[in-house]
Amino acid sequence: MTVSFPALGTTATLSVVDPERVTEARAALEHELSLVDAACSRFRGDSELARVNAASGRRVAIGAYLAEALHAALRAAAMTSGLVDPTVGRSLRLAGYDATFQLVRARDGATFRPQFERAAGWGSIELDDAQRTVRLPPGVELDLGATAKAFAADRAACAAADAAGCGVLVSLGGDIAVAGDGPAGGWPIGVGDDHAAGSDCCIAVETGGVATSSITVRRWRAGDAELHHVIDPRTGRSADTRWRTVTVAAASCLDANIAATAALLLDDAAPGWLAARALPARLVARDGTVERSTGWPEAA
Amino acid sequence: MQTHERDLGLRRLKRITLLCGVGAGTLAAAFAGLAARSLPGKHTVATVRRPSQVQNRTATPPPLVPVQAASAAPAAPSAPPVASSAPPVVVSGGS
Repeated sequence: MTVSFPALGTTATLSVVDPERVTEARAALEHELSLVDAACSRFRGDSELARVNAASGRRVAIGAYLAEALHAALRAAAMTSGLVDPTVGRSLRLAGYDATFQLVRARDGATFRPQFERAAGWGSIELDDAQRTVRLPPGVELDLGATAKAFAADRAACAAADAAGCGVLVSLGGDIAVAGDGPAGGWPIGVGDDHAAGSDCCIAVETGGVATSSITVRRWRAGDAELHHVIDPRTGRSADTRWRTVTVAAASCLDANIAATAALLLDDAAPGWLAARALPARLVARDGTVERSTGWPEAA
Repeated sequence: MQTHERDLGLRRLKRITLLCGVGAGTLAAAFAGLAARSLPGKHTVATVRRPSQVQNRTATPPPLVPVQAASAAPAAPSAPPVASSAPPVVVSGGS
């Protein structure tokens, strides 16, 4: 049984092996969604992340959820040599992604003049685990868009499987995590440019997670140019890459999402980087040609 | 004659005593300088510390969080995905 509903500015989907346990699984999912939204939203004025971004160099006490989400973001930065960097918040805002995407998309971008500023770098984040506080240098702003949804999907899938006592799949805007004993043959998952559109192929997974990063979605007009949300922290500009979409399967949704975003930014080096880590991946170039890394099924 | 020889002996003894004094002073000064150079005192330590304190104020502080080693990598799934002909329950795509 599968249910979908709006969440986090996108779509949340829950599938359960036992349809009679969907209520328990959904309650667990919704609890996780409320936690991630209250902790990690860049656009909710009362979120913990908004408070941290507005602190102007002061040290801020944070809750356990944001501390864990920051750990996940710092781990992503370490694993990708800073390509997936949580300090791109200011770069995103100056480039025009300064409100919920519905608002950004709705405004007239013809007269908007973006600014491009490279990210401060994840090394500037002071996270004190003992005191559970965080401090950013003045002017540094965080965005956890590259990791928080996937982090939440992993947590929600585990919580929902525990609550329901059966196998579940959780998708948050196409970032997918599975937990518990799934259906025979694995969970069938479509793969495409846009999670809300049709799929180009279908795979089945039994464990871990699947995530896709794409420059075909969350695009906005900025004067004469069109920008997208995958920001290169080295330049502060939308990534200039030969890939339009990268999908990765990994041991967790978080790891899959980190690898997919890094692959977009790695450009020509992406296939080698993915192969060196034995990550099954499907890379779609701007012209539509498809490359698959070792482990990705040939027929998909 | 005896008085003259005694006076000469006394003058020699005075000169030797003077030379010994000058030599002892020179040696004491040399050893003191050597000791000061090999075992720096309080003043030297303070001079060494001051620039490092300035450096600590201006350098970007390292992250306090024990980030996992940079060599850590996204982990591959325990079982790779397989092609499927079943209708998908969900689509993995950009959002």
